[in-house]
Amino acid sequence: MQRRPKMAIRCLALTVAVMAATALWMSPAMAGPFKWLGYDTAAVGSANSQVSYGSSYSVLATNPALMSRFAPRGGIEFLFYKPQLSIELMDRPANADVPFVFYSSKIGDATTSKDRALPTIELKNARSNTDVEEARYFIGAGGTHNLGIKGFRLGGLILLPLPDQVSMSTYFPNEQEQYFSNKLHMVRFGEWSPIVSGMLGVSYAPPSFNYLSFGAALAISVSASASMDLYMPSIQAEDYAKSNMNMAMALSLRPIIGIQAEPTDWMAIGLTWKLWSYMDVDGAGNMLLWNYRKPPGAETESRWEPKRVSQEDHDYALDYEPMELTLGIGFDFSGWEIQAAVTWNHWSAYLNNHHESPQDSAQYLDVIADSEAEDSMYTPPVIDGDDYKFKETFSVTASASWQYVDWAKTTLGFGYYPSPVPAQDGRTSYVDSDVMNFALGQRFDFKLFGSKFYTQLGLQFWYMTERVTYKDPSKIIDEFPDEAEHIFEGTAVPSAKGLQTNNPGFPGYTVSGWMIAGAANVGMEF
Amino acid sequence: MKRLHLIIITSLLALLAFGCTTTDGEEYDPSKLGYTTCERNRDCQPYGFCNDDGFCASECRETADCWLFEQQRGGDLVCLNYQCVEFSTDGDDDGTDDDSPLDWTCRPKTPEECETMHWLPFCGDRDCLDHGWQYSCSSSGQCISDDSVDFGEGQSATTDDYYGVWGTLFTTAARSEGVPLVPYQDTVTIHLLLTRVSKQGDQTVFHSNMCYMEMRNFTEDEVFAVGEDIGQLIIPPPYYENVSTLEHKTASIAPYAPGATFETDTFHEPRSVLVDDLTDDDEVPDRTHYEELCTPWPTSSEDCRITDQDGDGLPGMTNVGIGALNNQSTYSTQMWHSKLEGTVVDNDHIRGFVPNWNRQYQIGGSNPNMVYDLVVQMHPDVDRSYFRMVRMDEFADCDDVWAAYEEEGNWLYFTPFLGDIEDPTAK
Repeated sequence: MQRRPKMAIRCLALTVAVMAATALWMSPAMAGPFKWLGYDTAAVGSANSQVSYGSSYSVLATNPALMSRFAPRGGIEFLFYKPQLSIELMDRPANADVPFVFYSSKIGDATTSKDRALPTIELKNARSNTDVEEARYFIGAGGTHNLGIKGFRLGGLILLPLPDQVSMSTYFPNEQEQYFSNKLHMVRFGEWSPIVSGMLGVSYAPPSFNYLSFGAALAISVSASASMDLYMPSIQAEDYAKSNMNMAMALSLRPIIGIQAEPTDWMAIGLTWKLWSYMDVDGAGNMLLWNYRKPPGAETESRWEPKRVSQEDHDYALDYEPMELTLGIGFDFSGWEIQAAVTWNHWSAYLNNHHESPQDSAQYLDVIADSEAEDSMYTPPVIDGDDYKFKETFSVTASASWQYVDWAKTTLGFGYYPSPVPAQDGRTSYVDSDVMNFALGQRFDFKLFGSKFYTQLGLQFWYMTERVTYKDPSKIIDEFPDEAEHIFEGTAVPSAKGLQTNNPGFPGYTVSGWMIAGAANVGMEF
Repeated sequence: MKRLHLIIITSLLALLAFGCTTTDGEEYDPSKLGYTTCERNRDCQPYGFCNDDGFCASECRETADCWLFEQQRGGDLVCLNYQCVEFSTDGDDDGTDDDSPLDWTCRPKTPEECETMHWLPFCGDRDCLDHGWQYSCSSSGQCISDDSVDFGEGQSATTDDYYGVWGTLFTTAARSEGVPLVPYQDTVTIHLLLTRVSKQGDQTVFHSNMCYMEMRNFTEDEVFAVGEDIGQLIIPPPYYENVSTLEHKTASIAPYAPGATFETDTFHEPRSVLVDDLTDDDEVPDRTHYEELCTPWPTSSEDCRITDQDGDGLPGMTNVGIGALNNQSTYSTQMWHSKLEGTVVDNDHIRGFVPNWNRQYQIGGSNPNMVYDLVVQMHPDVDRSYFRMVRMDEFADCDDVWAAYEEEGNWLYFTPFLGDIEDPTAK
């Protein structure tokens, strides 16, 4: 009996040491849809509400301390989700288009017009609605084990998207997106980057003090950096260039800490903290051109210095998830297990795909600096960035399970996730609305060859409330300045008068939709 | 029963949530977006048309811009009044006014003022000559017709001699070194001229009024029209509307007959520079001169020998870079020299070569990246620098020269080499 406590302390100490060491170099990692759906079938069927009570390895994400509250087990999963979300764009006035005469107009030199619009008809993609409809499928596996130590659990899970294990794309939330998809995108729900996800964690409920349980987990993903060197021998041979690439990838980890207390045998309280997470991708490029040197200018001694065109610091942040603090309470009586949790979501620290905060991306900061040049014709609107800062939110999850026979249990779940996104009446279009979730789960236990098995089904129906956004034209930059002059005549261009913009969100849009998700698994208790 | 009540209440709350719609902002008013209101195309000139919403709009600059609209709308579209329309349109609601001589204004100059600029004594008529050699500029600044063209003492327009009014295509090809990103750049400058050939004393004088100038890049195999190359310099109207009338003269010209040849003296043309000796290119002020003696611009310094000849408020002559050059401007000074080596083809046609050379400096630009030290020489293919003349009516104007230039196969139609169009007598 004395050896076990020593071993338990050693294991715990080792685990804490490893966790502490990793905490020194950990950085946020993303999870995609599973923050919402849950990481396994039990979570899907209970609206991912397992904070006070739990019975599967997906508690690694909701409250890792719960691993010590159920017998060690393992299983394999199949999950899917099918969104039916849409962003419908309002019709824009014909005069809002940037015309071809833009190419024949003086609007300032290169430094004051770096972000020149394209004539609307020339955009790579026409402005169009966004339909998020693609179904995604995942397979996974997970388990927990006590390693022979009472009250201790080591747990892990992995989920693989099918067929692509890694698929990422970024977008701009403002008029810069005209050069790319020329669509709006969901900022929080529905448009996720399916990437392989994994978690490792431990928990311990001291046998002599077992009304408390402690747990910690790490969500594992990768961060990447890439640089490309490009050489174009001839600017006139558009499709001929030489390149080399350097790429590095590293593991990134998101810590999750949980505590669960059972002051009585019919009540439990859970508390969980999660760090923020996003997939961090850094990009850089250097381009060398043939016979391209600095112009003579005033620095005649540098006249023959080759001039490389460098593009540095393309930083991306994908699938941002906020820091969370969750408090739950649950009750277990007469075959019923009811629990509810409230989560504080620290959305005010949100970063968009291009590593910008919403309040910065709303302000035309890049254009304002250039517009101060003497010959600049741009007059960007002055925007108070604080109006566009994402709000802190409190989301709610709840579930009720009823064990109506020894070998079967049914669960109903509900979740409500208010939107942190303020009114998008200006430059940016972070598309989002309140989301709610209705879940149904069913579990069957059975024995096979003397061992305990279980199988579960889980279904979720998600609903996004309709949100209509109208843009305020005074907050949209005129991309064809009224003062533009024709390059030949120096005369005013009448079609430049008024607001021309390729901002896909102008003059407004409506978002709504729903999603179904489902999961099935089979598992065994060890 | 209690469970049932709970389920019912939850369901009702859920239904209530389902029905919620959030609205942010207010619907915009199109009339407050600042567009120019109109009733007809004429209200939107230049560069626009009046659309169905009653606002001035613009879809295209030329028919090539309509190709993308064709992909959307279908049909065969052309650019008319800056709008892409079906080819069969009759062009009503044309916004352009008919040109009236009463609207032709000019900038009168005295011969003394012309001499200061090293221009011809009648340089004040420059603004009127586009309408024909019978026009001159009155002291009140209006073009007036003399009802006849001066061909010299006792001369009139002929049908079988040099004297008359001619339409002229005049090309000068050059090779520039020092252009970034390429080993060199070949350009051809196309000049459309309305030429009066007259007799002055013992000289046969070719006076050529500049109707139009255009620069095109070219390679050995291809000449790129304006806008077709990735980036090029163009000559804006203020440039070619403010260059001197050319004068080429010769005291010894063979009698007019097919095969007769002639060679004129050299014409020296300063552009935006003040020099004492027109033949000394070393007098052309360069960028150092500009930066030391002419800045800040505009300057009142008498030491500055750079002028604003094209009248755009910027030093030197202004060219504009389009395409990848982002509509940036360059300012240059230049001394240009040319002569004619001609051959009479028949009663109505003359052709020949244009030996030419020049000294020019880029003195500045709207962006430092547009300023480079170039070395410009006449192109080694001498038959890319040529001229062709076709006899026109005594009262022909620049529009007549344009019409000939635009007609494929016409004597004035641009071709890379002189010999690309056969002599009419050879047909």
